[in-house]
Amino acid sequence: MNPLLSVRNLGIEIHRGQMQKQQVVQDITFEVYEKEIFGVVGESGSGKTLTALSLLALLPPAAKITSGSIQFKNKDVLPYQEKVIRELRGKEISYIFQEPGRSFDPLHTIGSTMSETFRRIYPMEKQDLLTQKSIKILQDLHISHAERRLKNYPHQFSGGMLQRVMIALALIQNPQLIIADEPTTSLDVTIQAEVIRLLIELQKKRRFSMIFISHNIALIASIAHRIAVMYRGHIVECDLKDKIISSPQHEYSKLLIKNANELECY
Amino acid sequence: MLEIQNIHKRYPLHAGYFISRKQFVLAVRGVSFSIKEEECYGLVGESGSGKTTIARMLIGLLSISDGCIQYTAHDNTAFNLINSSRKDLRKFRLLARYISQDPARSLDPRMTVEKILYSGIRYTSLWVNQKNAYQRAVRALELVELDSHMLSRYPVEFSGGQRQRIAIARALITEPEVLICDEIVSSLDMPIRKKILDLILRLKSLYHLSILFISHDLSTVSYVCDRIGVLYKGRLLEEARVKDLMQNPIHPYTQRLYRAIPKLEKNVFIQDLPPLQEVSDMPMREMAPEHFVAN
Repeated sequence: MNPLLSVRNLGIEIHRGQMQKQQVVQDITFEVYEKEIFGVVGESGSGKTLTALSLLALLPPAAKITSGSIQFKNKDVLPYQEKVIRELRGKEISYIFQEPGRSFDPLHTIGSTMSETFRRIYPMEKQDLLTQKSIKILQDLHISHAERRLKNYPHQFSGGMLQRVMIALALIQNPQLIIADEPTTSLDVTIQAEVIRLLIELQKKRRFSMIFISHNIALIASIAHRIAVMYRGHIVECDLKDKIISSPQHEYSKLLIKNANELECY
Repeated sequence: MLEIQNIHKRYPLHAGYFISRKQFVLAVRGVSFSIKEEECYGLVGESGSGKTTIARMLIGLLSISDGCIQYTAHDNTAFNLINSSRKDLRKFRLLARYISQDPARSLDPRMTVEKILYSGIRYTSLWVNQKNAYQRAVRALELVELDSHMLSRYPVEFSGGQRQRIAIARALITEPEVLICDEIVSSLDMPIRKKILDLILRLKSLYHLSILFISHDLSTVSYVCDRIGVLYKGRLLEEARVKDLMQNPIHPYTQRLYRAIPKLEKNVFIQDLPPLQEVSDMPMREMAPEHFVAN
């Protein structure tokens, strides 16, 4: 089976000042297949987010890709070409960011943010239709009073609700791959469980692939099919979920599993 | 022993600067619990349940609308936080120390670690001279397993886990008897989280600390605490020893919290969570020895 996304020997470097360089991601290789949930686990600073950002050319200006290749549906993403990237972003690959509170424009209502995205698929349609579509998708995500909520600003939403809106935005153009970068880290455990359940439900219904990034191995283990463990810029282990949980090979994976087991004392 | 009896907190809903609408938000309504010497009491609940409000009332950062907080120190001095004088409150604040959630924001970026640690004792009765303060600072850093050469560095040079250690050291420098840990590990990764929790446990037995440990995550609370209280909308719904609460959660809301914990080998948490019910005003009843449930 051909992989949907294939990343080979990716290396990313961060420039600090004129002379200083730091290799933050080294020699990363992984594949994501269709309809698969691919979990990435690692501590902060291990390069999880940079790797994910590089797939959509969203890296900060100081970060440069030094080596490797990224292929999506057998087409090269690297070197970045504006035209190719624009076709990818949102349409083929969507991104769910870490902190919902900070990733929305506070000056726009949720309705206007959503219409903006719909406008890309329906450039000539009337505003009414876009509003109808926005309401429909919010209802799919179990947001009550969707029509009224469209007129609200991001600060009027709770974290969990805002993250649902973010998921709605990511789904609008029916992408084949969704990158969820710690989507629930800033949420309470009960809200986290609800958001995750919703994501899984949607994944089953719409059959997209997902890269799920988190530092919590127990969370990853309960949803992912395959897991990659990242440590200091390397993927130190990548295997089926059950294999990693039952017999971790690398020292760092062993530590993660041991810690998770100790915290689960009841 | 720290005793909290039936405390309430009302926040006024402001209509404008000079106008009061005479309406209030009831953030905490009638919470009672006690923390013994060398005991760690956990408060769990979702955001908005009043956890932080309780913590702030405990150290006199917020006024208490109604109720009573008493503390008996190890040397049998008694404090009553309701009618305490400023002098008593200052004394109490040296004994009860607050550690806040986000170390990146609670440490002044323009102060060196040395100054940050000194700020815990400067202008208090514990301040003797610079030399004595230095010794205290080194000792506090030792306790949190940091090196004394880090004293001259700035907070930005440290990782999240190290910063939280500095915040703990600042609390320890006054040799406190009570620690109030408000979501101290929520922003940390799993392995670092566990190290900080182990540190808290070690400090507890070393200094016979009473600890109030606040978190929204039942699994971290169950790891460090001896007893747990479940808080929801400003009310305690269930209180029990850790083992009883985790093995036999009775209140539907506690079961909800318990089910929401992701587990390594079981995918239970993707199943339906029990729905939330309206919470009645009834006080808690003892269902099993030391296991109180509201119903």
